[in-house]
Amino acid sequence: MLKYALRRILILFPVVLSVMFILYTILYFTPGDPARIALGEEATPEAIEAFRDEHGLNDPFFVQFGRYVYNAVTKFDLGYSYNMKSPVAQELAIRIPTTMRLAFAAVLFSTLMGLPLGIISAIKQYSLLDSIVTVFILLGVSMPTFWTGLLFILAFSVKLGWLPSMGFDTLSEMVLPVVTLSGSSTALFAKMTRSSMLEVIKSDYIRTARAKGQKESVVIWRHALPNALIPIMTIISMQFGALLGGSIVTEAIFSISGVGRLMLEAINLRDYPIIQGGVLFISVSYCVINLAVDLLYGVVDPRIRVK
Amino acid sequence: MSENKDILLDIRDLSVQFNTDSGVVKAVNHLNMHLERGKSLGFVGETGAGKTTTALSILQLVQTPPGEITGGEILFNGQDVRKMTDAEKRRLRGGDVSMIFQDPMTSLNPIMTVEDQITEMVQLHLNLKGEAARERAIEMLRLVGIRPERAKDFPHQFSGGMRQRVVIAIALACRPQLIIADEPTTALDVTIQAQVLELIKKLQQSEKTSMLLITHDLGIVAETCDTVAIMYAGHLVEYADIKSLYTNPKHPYTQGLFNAVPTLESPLGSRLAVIPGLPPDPTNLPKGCSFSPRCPYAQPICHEKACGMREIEPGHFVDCHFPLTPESGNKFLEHPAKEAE
Amino acid sequence: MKNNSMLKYTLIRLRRNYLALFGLFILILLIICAIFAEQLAPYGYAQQDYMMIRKAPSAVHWFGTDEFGRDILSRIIYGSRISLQVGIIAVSISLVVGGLIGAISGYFGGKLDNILMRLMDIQMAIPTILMAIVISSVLGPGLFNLMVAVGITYIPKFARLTRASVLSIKDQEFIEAARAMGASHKRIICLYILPNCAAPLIVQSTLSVANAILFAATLSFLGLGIQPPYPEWGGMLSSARPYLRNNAYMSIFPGLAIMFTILSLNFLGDGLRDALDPKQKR
Repeated sequence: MLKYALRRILILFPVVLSVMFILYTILYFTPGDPARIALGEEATPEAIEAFRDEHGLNDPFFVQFGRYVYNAVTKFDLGYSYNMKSPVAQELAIRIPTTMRLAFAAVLFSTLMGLPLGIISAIKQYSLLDSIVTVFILLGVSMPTFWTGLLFILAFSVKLGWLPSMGFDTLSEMVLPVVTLSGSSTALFAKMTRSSMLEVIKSDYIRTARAKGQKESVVIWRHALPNALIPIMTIISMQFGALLGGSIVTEAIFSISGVGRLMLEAINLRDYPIIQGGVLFISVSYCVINLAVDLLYGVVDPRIRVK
Repeated sequence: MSENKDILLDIRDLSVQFNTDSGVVKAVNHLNMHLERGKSLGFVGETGAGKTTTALSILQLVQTPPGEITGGEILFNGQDVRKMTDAEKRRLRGGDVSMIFQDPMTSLNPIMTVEDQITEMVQLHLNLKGEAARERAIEMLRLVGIRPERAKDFPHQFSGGMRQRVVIAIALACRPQLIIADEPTTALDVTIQAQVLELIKKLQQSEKTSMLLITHDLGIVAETCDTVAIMYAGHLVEYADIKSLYTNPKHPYTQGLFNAVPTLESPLGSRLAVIPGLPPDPTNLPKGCSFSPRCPYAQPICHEKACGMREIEPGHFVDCHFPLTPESGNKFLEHPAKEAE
Repeated sequence: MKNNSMLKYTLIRLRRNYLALFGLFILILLIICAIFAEQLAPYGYAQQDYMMIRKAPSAVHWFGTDEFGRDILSRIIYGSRISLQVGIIAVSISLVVGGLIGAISGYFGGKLDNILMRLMDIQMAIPTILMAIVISSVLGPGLFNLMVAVGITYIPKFARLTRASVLSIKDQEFIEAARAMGASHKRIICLYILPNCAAPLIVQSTLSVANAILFAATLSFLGLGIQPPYPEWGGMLSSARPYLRNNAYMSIFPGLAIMFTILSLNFLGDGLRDALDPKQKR
């Protein structure tokens, strides 16, 4: 087991490095000269050349990349944003806690709402509840997050005035953004849990459990459910990445100053260091979460454990 | 049939159907069968003949939509299983009647140790807890030939044959009065088959358990059972003790089954005499005798009216208007391997 | 021969699925809107009428007008053309490139397989929106760039799906038999492997078109995709935001359009999945 864990952790490093490489390469080849952006339109060619020399912009690609990686890994230095006139890492650091809180809250909410809905609608298949949940799933998956956000604001802020539509500091400010972001995830989890449960309930070993004379409730909760939830773990961890990405939209709608909104501004201003740093951070977080869940999987599913 | 205390299981006029989108599947039709205490009954028939459904009905485990028991009684120790309360049914399952299912690869919970799967059984029916339950589980494992060190292993760590042994251990853990073994060796290699059958036979004899062995293999039946019931298209067509059936089969279908088994005496180069045609569509059973379309002995009345089980000789029942006698010959061999209709 | 009967069988099963038929119906409606937008829309999509700015739905403008006095119904009808284009072209890109990668990877295996799948893993480490954002910011705004960006994001999914299908059939004995008879790689791939992949790919493509349209709308909402005055539904919602309080209708209709499009494609995709699955017991 330990060897398995170690191996999975080691794989993380080349993956992160590759992600850095891809991002760096893509953004390296975008049109636009960092020197010109930093110094402004009126800068003289000499000033630009001097700037380029000073910041190593004339060095070969791999040297620049190597420098970037070295700085990132040893000093957490992800470059400097000329637009914001401050280090990338600093701008990110201010906003990371907010985005993380949003994403985690959304995962928690989706799991706590989605899983029970899926389980119950599987147990009571063909009932009214099942039909309602199915409709909810369909809508949840088809409605765009940015639309549901607007509709929530319309209903609860504008018309009813119950909840604020901006910010993320007080509890009431957190409600709408979290619910909005969770929308499609909740539907997805409910759908996956439902189908996993349905499949497990049809298995032979469930029939064996009943043939043992076990109570139906125990059959469902102690035999079916644990088996059904194992694949859901992977889905939850994968969804985390989608939620981190989706936070961009939610932060935009609810004016939350998180990493997502930073990304949006950076794109409009062509602030590549920020884009690079932000995407890198989110991707690395995503990888780490996936790794954690993978390891958890090994603990929970004996079939993986004893390989 | 006599009302005597020696009859453990008495199935009377059982009918089970499945309501599917493509029609009503008549899986079991007016089945009458009984099993005496301490004896073993071989339940033979092709796939889809209704054997597993009958077994599941005994345990009341037929999936109720789409399945439906439409008639009959299933008397276990004189008590009708269909009329039992839920609690009584749960006591029956595993406590009085245990089932060994066909596919050992999928019959065990993949995330429970084999020990836990047996202790669950023991806790349910024998009221043993904790250490006592564990000991009983280990004892059962030892009985089926699995070392105690492996008790905390998971099903995927065992081979097919070993898994089936675990299933047997679970089934026998609470000393049931009846074991239903549904094709227990079909999914296993031939060499393992023999071992597992040996084991079942040994345990059955030592514990004096009655057994209902479902199979399509006449050879296995000959070795392990006292009586045989032959099933075709949801009907029982013949029922007798081993010796009578194997020396004097009376139903044409039974004769056809025996023909299809090659023996050491078969002349070299001869073809297996198959029964021409295919089993009937269960949503559209033929009028009259279900076997009549394929029966080389069929007469006009066979296509019109079913016969019903009749006791031709003491203890030997057949559902046929014209049961075979030694003089009837073997019409299957006269038309070898006719193309399927 | 076999393909004919499978097709017929699939269609029969599909026909019994009412949700899928509903989805197909809506989809056909959308396609008609897309193709015949000029004939169906009462006004042009860029036609501005300063007399009718931000008017609520009425007999003259069924869905009301936006902040430039443009008819929203017409913009939605024209918008279907954009959405369907983006969805179909983006998914086509993913299907072809991803499918090729997956097929090669699965069929030839070995080191090539390893490298290709590692690349796919790395791409999957970056959440899709971010990937699309990065590509978009490199390529710049515009319809075509949007299609490419969205298309690239779905490549790993199709690659994995194709690879799995190829692997599931590659090692079966009849392939070995075909090779023993002297069949070339090309023949084996076209005759045996590809048909096996067809079913899951068809289902995934349908569902991915839905996703792609949603994705494109999101990107446009964020200001990254199609620029005004093109009537992309996501972009329309973005411009409607400031007027949420007083002109709520502007935020409702484009969202409904997106929702129904995606719903119908999901119904159709699920229906196809059920119809094409040979193990269905219905």
